[in-house]
Amino acid sequence: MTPSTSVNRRDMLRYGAATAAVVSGVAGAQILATPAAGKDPRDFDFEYRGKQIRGVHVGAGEIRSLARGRSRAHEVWINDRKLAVMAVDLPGAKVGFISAINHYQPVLIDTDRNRGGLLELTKRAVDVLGDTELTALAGVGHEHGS
Amino acid sequence: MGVRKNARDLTTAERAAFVAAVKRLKAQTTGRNYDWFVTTHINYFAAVGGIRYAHQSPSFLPWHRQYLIEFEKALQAIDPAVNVPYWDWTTDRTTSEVPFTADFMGGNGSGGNGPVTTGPFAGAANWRITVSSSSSTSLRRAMGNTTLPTSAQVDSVLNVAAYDAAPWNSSAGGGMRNRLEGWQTPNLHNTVHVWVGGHMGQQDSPNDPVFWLHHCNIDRLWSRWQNRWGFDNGHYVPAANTSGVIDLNETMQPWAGITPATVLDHRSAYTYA
Repeated sequence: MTPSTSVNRRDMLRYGAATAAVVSGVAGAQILATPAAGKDPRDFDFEYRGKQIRGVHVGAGEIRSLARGRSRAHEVWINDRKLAVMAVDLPGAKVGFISAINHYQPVLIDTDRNRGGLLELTKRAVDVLGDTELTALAGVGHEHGS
Repeated sequence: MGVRKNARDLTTAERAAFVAAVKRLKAQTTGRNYDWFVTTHINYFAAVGGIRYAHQSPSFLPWHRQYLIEFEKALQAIDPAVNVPYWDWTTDRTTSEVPFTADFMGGNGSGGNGPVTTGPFAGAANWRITVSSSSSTSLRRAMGNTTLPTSAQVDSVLNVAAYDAAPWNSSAGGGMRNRLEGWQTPNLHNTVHVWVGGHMGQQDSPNDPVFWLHHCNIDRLWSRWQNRWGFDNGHYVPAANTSGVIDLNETMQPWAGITPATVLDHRSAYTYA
């Protein structure tokens, strides 16, 4: 499967660039908060429309092709309830992500231009939920039997 | 043989009979009741045992064809006169007319994304949501988040001669299937789920009875494509030996004995009016 390979390569490049930025920022450490070890700078944890949203991005190389029947996708919680996220290979060697709540509307995440994609996906889910909450079913992974 | 009609051509009695049968299936406590259909859709959204049966694959169309047949059979066990109608969203494009009338599917959610307040499926007392990724026990809709596909876009998809193309998933750039399913532009099927919103946008989308009218229309569009290009085995691909994908003669779980080849020509079982 070439799409996932190329995306992983793109991820490697992006992570490489992020590492370089942190290293070069050491000189200005007083103004640059150093990320915790292993923490992705895109991760988030704050309140949005009355709900606590938390997003954790998985590292490069961990996102596997859907075609191989399994994918370790990014992780999202809304009010401490897990929202399952699923990788979807798209035309043009892109990878989008859908959730149990926004199931037919992929959001691009793993390219530089779409760095805020997981947050966008999470906000969309909160918008849909309104005054309701996720159920346990929303947190069940999609890759059944793999 | 059943005739599936345009929802706008149903009589008042036909609308009432469809709603009554759907509600009785929902109230059924054993066997393949309404919530069994909801659960099955969730279970088969992605890969099962490494194979994508129902979505993001060539068998998207034959799997849902059999899913509709099974649902229609379940309704007909309750009322033999009922057939699933279709919603042609290229002509019926508003939130308050066919099929979203108070005597059929009911209207939009309150406040734009809340519970449906009109029609036979409004409120948990009339239609209780029990299998869902959100905690709402009432059916919800948030209509109009996007633009419904046009007839010109439908025609552009039906003009594509190839049924599907490698790599046989949601990233396929060529072929009719991925354009119709919607991971490739112009995106017909996915767009309509998003347009209705609420439960229709979730993995448990069959909780909204309009799901069946939408998928009946998707099946009708495939039938129109087949009418133009062929109902024969040559118009389903892949034919054989493709891992992770349902080939022409491979069984589509959970439908025992059903392969794409067995459902390609539906004309002896049902037709579209």
